[in-house]
Amino acid sequence: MMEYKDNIDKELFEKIEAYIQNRMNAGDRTAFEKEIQADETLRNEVALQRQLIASVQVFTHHKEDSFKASSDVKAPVKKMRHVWMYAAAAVTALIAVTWFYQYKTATGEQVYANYFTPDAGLPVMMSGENDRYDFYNGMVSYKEGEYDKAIEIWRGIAQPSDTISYFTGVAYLNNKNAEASIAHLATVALNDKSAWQQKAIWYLALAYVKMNNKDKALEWLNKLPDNEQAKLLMRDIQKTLP
Amino acid sequence: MKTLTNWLQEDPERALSRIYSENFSWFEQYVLQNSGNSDDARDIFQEGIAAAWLNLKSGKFSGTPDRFNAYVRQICKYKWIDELRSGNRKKISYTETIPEKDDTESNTTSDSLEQSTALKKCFLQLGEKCQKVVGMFYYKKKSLAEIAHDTQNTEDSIKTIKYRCMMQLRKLFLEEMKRM
Repeated sequence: MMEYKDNIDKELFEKIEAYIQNRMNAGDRTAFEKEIQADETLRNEVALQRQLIASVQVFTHHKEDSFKASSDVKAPVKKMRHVWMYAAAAVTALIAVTWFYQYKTATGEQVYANYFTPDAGLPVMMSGENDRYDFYNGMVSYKEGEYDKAIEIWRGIAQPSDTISYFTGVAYLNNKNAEASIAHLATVALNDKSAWQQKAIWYLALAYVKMNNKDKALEWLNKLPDNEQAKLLMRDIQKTLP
Repeated sequence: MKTLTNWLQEDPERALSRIYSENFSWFEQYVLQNSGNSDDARDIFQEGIAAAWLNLKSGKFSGTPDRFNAYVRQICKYKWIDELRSGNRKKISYTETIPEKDDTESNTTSDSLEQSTALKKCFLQLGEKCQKVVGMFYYKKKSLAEIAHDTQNTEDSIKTIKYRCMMQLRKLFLEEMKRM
C-alpha cells in the first residue's frame, strides 16, 4: 500500500484542495508543485484527495439520481389521487380539531412537536487551550447532528460551564431524550447569572411538555412573562392537554 | 473542441448529468439484449460511471473528451459481463451466450471497480449532514457563504465541518484499502 501522511491538518487540507480546484495563483501553484515533486507522501496525498473529492461528486449524483428515479415512479399515482387525498385530509383534520378542543386529548408529544425547533449551536473556532478546543470539537459534532458524540466530548471536559450544561441539555432534547435533558437544563434555568437562562427555561418547559408534565411546564413558562412564544405555548397547553 | 483540461474544470453536476444522458439508453439496450432488465442496467451503470469518473478525475483516463463515452461504455460492459459470469444470475437460459470481454479489458478495470465500490461504502458511512455539506461544496459547487446560509451556520463552521467530514472519509477509505 502507498505511504500517506499520518496527519493532515486543516491548513494543508485547504492547500491541497485549492490546488486540486485550481484556486491557487500562479506563484503559489509553482511553489506547491515543487513541494509535490520533492515529497512522495505529499504526492500520494494529493492523489488521494482527488479521489475523495471525485467520490463525493459521483456518489452525490447517484443519490440525487435515485431520488429522481423514485419520485418519477410515484408521480402518476399522486396525480390521480390528489383530489381525494386532500378531501380525506381535510375531513380528518376537521374531526381531529373538534375532538382536540372538546375533549382535550392532545398528547404532550404533539404539542411539543408544534413548538420545538433545535438550537442551531454556536459558530466553531478550532483553536485555543484544551477545554476550549474540546468544547468546539463537540460543537462541530452537534452541528453535524451527532448529538451522542457531542455529549460524550463535553462530558470529558474538566471544568464544565453553564454553556456546556445548556448545550448538553439541548443535545439530549434533539436526541428525543427529554428525561435526560432536564437535569442539565434545570441547572442553567436556575442560574440568574447565565446568559443562557431564558433559552434554558424555554427548552426545559418543552421537555416537560414532551413528558406530559403539564404543571411543571406551566411553572417554568410563567418565568418568561415577556416571551410571546411562551404565552402561545401556555395557551395551547391549557386548551389541549388533559 | 474542448480539451481534457478544461473539460475537467466543468461543473460536475452538469458533466455527470450529460454523461448519464449520453450513455444510459445505449447501455440499457445492451443489458436488455444480454439477459438483464432495466433495474440491472441502472445498478451496473451507476457502478461503471463511478469507476470511470474516479479514473477521469485522478488522471488514470488520459484520452480525449470524445473518447470518454466509449470508456464509460467499456467499463459498464465489463461489469455486466462479470456479473453474468459470476453465476448470480439464475435467469440466464442455456441457449443464451455470454458476450466475450474485449482484450483491452483488464485487471485495471476490475481494480477501478473495486476501489469505487470501497469509496461508495465509505461515503455512505458518513452522516447525513456530512454528505450534505461536502455534496453542496464539491458537487453543487456552492460557495461557503451559500452553504452557511442554507444550513444556518457561519462560513468558519462550514469550513471546519467540511474538513472533518473529508478527514473521516479519508480515514474510512484508508482502513478499507488495508483490508483490500
